[in-house]
Amino acid sequence: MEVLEDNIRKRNFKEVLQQCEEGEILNPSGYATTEVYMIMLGCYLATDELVHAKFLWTRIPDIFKRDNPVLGNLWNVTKTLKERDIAKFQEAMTETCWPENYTTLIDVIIECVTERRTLLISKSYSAIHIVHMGKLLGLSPEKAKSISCKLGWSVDEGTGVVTPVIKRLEQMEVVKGKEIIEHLSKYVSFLEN
Amino acid sequence: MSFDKLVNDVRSMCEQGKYRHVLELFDRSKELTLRFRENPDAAMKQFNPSKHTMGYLLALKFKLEINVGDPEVFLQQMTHLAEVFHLEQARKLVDILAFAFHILTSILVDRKQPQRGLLPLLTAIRRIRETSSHLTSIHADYLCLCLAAKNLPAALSLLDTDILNLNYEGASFDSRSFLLYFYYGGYIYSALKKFSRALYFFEVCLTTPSSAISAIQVEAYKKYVLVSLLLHGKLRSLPKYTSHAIERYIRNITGVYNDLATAYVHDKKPLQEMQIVLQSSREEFVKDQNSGLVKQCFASLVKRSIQRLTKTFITLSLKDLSERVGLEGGPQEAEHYLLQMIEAGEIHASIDQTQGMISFQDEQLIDGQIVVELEKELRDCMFLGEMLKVMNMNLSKDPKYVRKTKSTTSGTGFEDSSIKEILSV
Repeated sequence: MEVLEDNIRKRNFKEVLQQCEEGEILNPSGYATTEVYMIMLGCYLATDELVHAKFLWTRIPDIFKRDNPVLGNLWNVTKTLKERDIAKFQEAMTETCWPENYTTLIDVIIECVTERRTLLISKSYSAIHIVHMGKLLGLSPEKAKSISCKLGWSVDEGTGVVTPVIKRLEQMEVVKGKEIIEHLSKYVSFLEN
Repeated sequence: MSFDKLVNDVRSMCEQGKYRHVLELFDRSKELTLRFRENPDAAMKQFNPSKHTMGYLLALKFKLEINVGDPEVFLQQMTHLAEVFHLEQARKLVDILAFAFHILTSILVDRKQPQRGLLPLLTAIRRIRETSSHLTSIHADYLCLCLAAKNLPAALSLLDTDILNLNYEGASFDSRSFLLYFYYGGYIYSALKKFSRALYFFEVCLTTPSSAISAIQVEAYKKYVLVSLLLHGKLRSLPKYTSHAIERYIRNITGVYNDLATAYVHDKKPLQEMQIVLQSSREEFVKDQNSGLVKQCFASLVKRSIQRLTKTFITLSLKDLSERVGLEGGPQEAEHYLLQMIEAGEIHASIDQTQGMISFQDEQLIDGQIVVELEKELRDCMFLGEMLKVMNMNLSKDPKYVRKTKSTTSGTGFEDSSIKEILSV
């Protein structure tokens, strides 16, 4: 479990999910433990894989859901994301009393969702009111303003308009010199023949 | 010859690698088959499944013919066998192994415990297939269990690898297993909203050479229509190489779905036209378990209209957009849709809230991600081209193929022009 937590902290979600999904199959009963289900559901939320979250919820046995209300609480959070209601998401995450062993998971989910929304705002708006930005993030205008400043977006104090800057996707691994010529000649020869 | 002596002979033949002799002995000895048939469980106990897999499988065959008995015991036996079977011996009797897993699958689905079969089936598939791109007849059973257990990520470990070959299983590998694999695969991808991959799977199912239509292909076509609408905004025609029987008759069998596709692309009132089709055929969609996909087609109409506007306008006000698309929620609802579409990468646009305007942009080709994707696609195409060349070469050297083509034509296999034609597509 410590390894899993460490990977969650480092956001190696693919690795965590692979381990959990394999563990679920390897169990002769075909079921995983509540902790594993929590981690899987959490990772799906962090990576915005809501379809996977839905199927996971339908296959968790009822007895697990009845005996572990924490699973139901995280499912309620999933529903807010499915409805794209970020205000309710923030409310559910902060107001629910999560057991201590899930603190890292919950923090990482909040961070990932907020980052994803911020990226969406930067891609979708050339100018946005700070109040509206707060709504899209499920946060107060003050918090939205502090996030804008952190990201280096300009905020007009008088009108309250934020000018987001598009975050470029990470550049591809740069292929240089001879290597790039080799690649290109391979492609050209394939396409011509 | 006594029964014990016969069993001992089978054991030693298995250990010495005289696999052909084992089969001959079973054909010859009535005593052996009689005793195996009388009590297959006791016969199975005579063999160690890891060393005497052939003896074990032959005894299992009688058990399957008579009665599998206690399902729990059968599940344990199959789980253990999948882990330990001797590969070479199991490949000699792969038809029995595959049949046993077909039976196990139907038992587990009936008992509503599909999740318990995932481990043995996956283990068996991984061990028995020649490479990860070989399809076995157990693949379809595994996908069936994944669907019944609602464990779709478990299916992706197989589905994400392209199938390039069929595992040798003799007559036991029928077209049903092949069609089911691609039907279930398409079903799983469409449930995960990976529509491009889903369409490909349904297409493979529909373009499998056939002289008559299979019920599996009919169901695949229904889903193909809906996924095609979601992905391309229209019904995509089937490829030229589709069998004549499918092309000619399938549209008549799936009339409602074609009506829906026609309504979807209606010039003026697609929503109303689709509602008419839905009202008259709702039960059919529910019965086919396609109501979820139909619902998604309705929801995609708005997005489709917005996408059309991006081709006509460079800038547009939110108010204009909501009016043109017919959104009752006005500019707010329009903004909601735009955010969803930008997030999904369906359009590239930028909203200026101070002016209430949207600017539509072209896809940013300089984006590093797109170059990486383009490179990956090119590499995949090159790999497939190479594979096709190798397959063509192997086929043209295959004695059976050469004999057949020589007797019917004067040609010697695929003409170079045909392979070139395929590669150029």
